[in-house]
Amino acid sequence: MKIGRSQIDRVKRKIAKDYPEFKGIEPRVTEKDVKPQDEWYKKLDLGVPKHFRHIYRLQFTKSVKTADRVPIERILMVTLDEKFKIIKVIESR
Amino acid sequence: MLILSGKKALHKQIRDIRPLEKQIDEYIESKKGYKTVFCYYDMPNKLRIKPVKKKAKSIRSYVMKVEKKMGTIDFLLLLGGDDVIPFFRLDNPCDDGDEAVLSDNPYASRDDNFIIPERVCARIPDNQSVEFMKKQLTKANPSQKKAFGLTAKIWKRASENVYRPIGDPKKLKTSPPITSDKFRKAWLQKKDFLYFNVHGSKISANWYGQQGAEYPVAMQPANIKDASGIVASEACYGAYIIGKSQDDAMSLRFLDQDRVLGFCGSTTISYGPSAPPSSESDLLVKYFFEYLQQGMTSGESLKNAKLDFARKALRRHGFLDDDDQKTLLQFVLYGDPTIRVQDNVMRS
Repeated sequence: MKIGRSQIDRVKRKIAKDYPEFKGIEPRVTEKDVKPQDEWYKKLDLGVPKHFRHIYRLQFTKSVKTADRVPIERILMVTLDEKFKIIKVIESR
Repeated sequence: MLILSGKKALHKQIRDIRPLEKQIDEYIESKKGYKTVFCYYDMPNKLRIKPVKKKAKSIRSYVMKVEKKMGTIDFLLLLGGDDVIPFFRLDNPCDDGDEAVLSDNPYASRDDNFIIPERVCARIPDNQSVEFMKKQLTKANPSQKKAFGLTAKIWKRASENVYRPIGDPKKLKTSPPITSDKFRKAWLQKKDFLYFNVHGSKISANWYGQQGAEYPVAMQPANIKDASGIVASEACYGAYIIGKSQDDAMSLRFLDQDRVLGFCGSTTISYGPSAPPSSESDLLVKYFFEYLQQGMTSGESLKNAKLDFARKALRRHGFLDDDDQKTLLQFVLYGDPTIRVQDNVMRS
């Protein structure tokens, strides 16, 4: 299913609340089919791989400057599952 | 253990390689528990393996050939920086500012699945100094049972979770208010573990804190003097050393200390959560500390941390996503991989 505007806006509101520095930034939206990663399951003796997954990624990017004027690109990535549920939020270090 | 370098390239970097070769002989002699072989990939050797050129893929093939001749290589120690043994430039799984991920993972893998390492791999950067390299092979630090940690203030809760295996989370310092001006050198001295969860940059030597839109200089190379212990940093580019020296790379500055036993960090842009549960760099470093605390060598600790990280991510979501994969590829270990933080833990 294609992610709609309302879902994107819902994530944007959540991010604006929890990560105010990314408020007002329009995320880059991508989606991806994740095939069962058999070889990694096998290499780690982890039994049977899970089924196909479909995930959405909303990437918020912002350029900032440090106290000594060094430019840093700040990235915040939100991963959503098939049901548009947020499964992970991470930031660049 | 295989110790590997490139003679011509190493000579170009540090000039007089004889003192280092002597040090390597002494190191091998001291490592009684390891069957150790030292060879140059670009020179004829006892194993009768054809020398190869200074290319990451060729050097990796060379390692595989050595393994065929001498049996399983559990520990691989690369001597030299990118100009001697190039990092692999792997496709960046994430859509961020890094053109490629600099990685040593392929040297640690026996198959083409580089994400999951099978052997310990560490690197001793040359820093264009024979004394610097020699020093890495003779390090020791009596156990101090103390740790130091510094985090950007916005990641305090996340960092406390990482720091817990090695120290009291209440004692974790945050930036702000800590800045390089207020940084006390003594904080880094007489420690077993040094932990940093801060911002880093490819073009700056400094590490940065954060609170809101404020990014103070949390630390700079001059803050490091007589530091000790094993360092793990989540900073972006914390382990980026190409074209750098101890004056403009925190990792090399730490390694230049007599009692800093190793440095674990990221070669590129790294990621982590702002609060628990730990994921990405936070999770990897947490596992790294847990294994060190259990008495494992630094090399085994990083390898096991990567395996546990991959298992956890697969169990959590059923797959390794782009940033999980990048985390596994980008973290490298500098220093002697056979060193332990607390020898007494193993003995007990």
